[in-house]
Amino acid sequence: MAEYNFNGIEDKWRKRWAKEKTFQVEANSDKPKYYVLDMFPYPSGAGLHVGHPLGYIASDIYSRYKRLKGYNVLHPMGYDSFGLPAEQYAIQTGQHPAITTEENIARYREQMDKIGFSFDWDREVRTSEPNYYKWTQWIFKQVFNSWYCKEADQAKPIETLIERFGQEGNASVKAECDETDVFSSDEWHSKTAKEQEEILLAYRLAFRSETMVNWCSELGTVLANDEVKDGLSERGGHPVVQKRMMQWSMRITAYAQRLLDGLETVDWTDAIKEQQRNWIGRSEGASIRFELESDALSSDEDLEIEVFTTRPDTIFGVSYMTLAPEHEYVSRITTDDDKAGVQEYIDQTKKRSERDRMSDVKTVSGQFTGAYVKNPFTGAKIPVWIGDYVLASYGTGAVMAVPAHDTRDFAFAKHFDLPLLQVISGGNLPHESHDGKVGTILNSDFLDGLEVQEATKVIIEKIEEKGIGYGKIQYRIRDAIFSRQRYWGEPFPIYFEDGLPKAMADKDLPLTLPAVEKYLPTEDGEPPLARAEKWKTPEGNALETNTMPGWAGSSWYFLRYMDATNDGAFVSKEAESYWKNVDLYIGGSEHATGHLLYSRFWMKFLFDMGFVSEQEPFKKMINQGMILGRSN
Amino acid sequence: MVENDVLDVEAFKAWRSDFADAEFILEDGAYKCGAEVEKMSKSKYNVVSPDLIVEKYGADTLRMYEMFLGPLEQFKPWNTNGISGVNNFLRKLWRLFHDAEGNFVVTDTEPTKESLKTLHKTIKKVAEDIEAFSFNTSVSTFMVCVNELTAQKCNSRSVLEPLVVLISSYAPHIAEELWEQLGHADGVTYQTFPAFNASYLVESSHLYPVSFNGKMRFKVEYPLDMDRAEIEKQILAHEKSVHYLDGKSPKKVIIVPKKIINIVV
Repeated sequence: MAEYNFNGIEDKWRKRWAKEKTFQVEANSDKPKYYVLDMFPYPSGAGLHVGHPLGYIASDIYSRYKRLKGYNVLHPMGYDSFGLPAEQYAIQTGQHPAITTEENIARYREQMDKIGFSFDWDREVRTSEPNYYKWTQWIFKQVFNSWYCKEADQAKPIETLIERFGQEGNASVKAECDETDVFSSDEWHSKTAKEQEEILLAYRLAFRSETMVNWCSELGTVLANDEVKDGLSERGGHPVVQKRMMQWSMRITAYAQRLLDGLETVDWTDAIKEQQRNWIGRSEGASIRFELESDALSSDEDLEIEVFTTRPDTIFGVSYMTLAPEHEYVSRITTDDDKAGVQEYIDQTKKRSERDRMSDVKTVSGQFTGAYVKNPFTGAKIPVWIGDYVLASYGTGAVMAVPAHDTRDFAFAKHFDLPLLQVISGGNLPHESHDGKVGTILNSDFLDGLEVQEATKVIIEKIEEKGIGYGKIQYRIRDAIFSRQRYWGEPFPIYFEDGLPKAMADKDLPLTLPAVEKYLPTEDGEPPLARAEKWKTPEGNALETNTMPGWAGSSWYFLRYMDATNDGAFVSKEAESYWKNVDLYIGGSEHATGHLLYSRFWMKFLFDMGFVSEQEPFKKMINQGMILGRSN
Repeated sequence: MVENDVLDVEAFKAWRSDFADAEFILEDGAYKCGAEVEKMSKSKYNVVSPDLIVEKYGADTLRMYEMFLGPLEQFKPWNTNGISGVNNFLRKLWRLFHDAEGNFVVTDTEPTKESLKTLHKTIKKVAEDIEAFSFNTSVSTFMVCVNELTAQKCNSRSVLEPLVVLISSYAPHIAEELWEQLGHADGVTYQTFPAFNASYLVESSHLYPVSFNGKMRFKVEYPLDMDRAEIEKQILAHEKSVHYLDGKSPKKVIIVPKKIINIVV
């Protein structure tokens, strides 16, 4: 060959590698293992552009290098094939998403093959294939059928909880759960099956609850936060309201501390670790209860407002209290004079999304309720306001406001002419609030002269002594919403009996996605699956019509590659004890608080249940920078 | 329609009917576009398809070029102009193994010290770079290596064979082909990464610039363990020294070991 005939050479070797399955590996080798993984793509209609293979080329070089160094290298690839674009295309053209997806995958494969990647294609996964999502559904079942035991600091099968209830009731059971009434073992046994099931739902790690969503009746769909601008839908400018909707969630909050601690054990960039730390948002503070005084309450109604605060040391500086407009006591405590103003404010707030309320620091709004609380240490009467900068879903939905030492409280107080009470030395009051956690306490009786840190300890002790609260660690992270009102996603292996969700039997999995005439929500606002004919169990029970979110399939795919064709388990003991976890993960950093957090959560859960032997999915991660195009 | 920021005016006019009668202000007979470097996406009409690159230059070139653009974790602008440089490099690599007629010219002759030094310098650097995920610097290292071996006219199997294994992670197709041509039927994927031997990098001699009255005239190599007296003896006997001395007697011979020789006449 006179010239370097790259086309001929490359074609020849592509065929040779495919024919000889050069890159196929097994878990039964004497060689040490090394697992190199690329974040798998959503197979879009546009195909690859040169920016995509950047990470794939780097991981391919490293994989090939490791083979030369004598390792048994697992380097697989697959497709995150459920998702919105194929569904949107289906709505536009009527072509079933599965068909579009198949075509797109073929194109991706063709393009990738041309670049000479050393993938073990026998291990390919596609999240939209029934033999894959059978196991996504199965894992969901495990999550649904478990509870988080705080004493053991791990998840356990729900049977162990039922046993404890039968033996001792729930008073001594320390679990991550919703609020429940206390019951004894006798009381448990005397409850009906339905009552027992309702109680268990408060403990299950996958549960349904009403959450606020952005509902657009014109479009007939729930919108994500970034699809809404100023109370109108981005698409078409239709009105969007905050609506309560029953959605599935997963109790990721139970794992908050372990997700935080685990970051010390992985070789990731500080930037991503910091993003996860902030997202989990651990804060140490106190829960404090304040007695309510309101003309709207009768003399024998003893109500208290509970607040969570990270600055209990500033309790002597509280000059007002702010409740979220949706706080359950608002209607009870608002006096007649203030009822109209309060109701108007509540209605206004409905139009704003939580994200807007949290991030908009410029707009100050609120309403006085006419009610007061008593400062437990000074006895002073503190006015109770409602303000939309407080969210009902975070903490207790009420905050004790110390405008001298908190920027947001300061803005509110300035706007409504509420007093500034300084209790920490230093700063530039009254021109701006003095937020720092550094200084000595003043104007605070027994706390005077103490440094902030010391004062915090002392006040928490006093609060607990008085029986009006306790020291508490709080996390910013919320439970993760786990349902979508879409068609092209995993159906839940759940049916409803007597109004309660029940899991289907293993033998009935996968619950395959049914055919529907249209891929849109129904006229009543039900999800597309509600259009499926006979979407019921053989006994006639209604099946869940929501589908799983995009992160379901990607939260465990790195495990499936270890044992991609096993029909009896999502991964065998042999495979997972050999391959363990990913040694090198290459992909974009934009997944810091989504996929990269959920996959860690699921891995820890599966570890607790004994299905995997590692707690962290990705030992080391590199995030490639984008290739930028030249736009003319 | 745009290449190197120059618009193909006819193609642009033909693209959309509203542009058919557009007038263009030309600079040197061409319409030069403004440019912005930003994320590659369909909506910005700035995507480059890998298929076209592979067709025109090959996958091995694409692979090496994408790595060459810059450190993996940083943002890098795409520039199709740089690609031919990488393609030329692969052609040069090919020509280490073949003559102009396309005959395979690898021999079993002993490699020179220089070639071994080039090879092992490359083994060391490439291994370090891959371990550190610094893929872009390895591409430069390979280019330097091939340039040096080409200048040395090296076609020794004991140097070229390890080089094939070394480059196989980056350019697997050409590596497999060369490996097969070297007489192996087992493929390059599961070979052993070349072992680095530090002794080949040890300098055993120094190339002295020889000056006459401060003016550098030629260079000569002497072993590091040669003593001053011997160096002086040899340099004065050197045929080039005889030429520059031109019959005169040297007044002084300054020798700075491992550095320079200066003969004062």
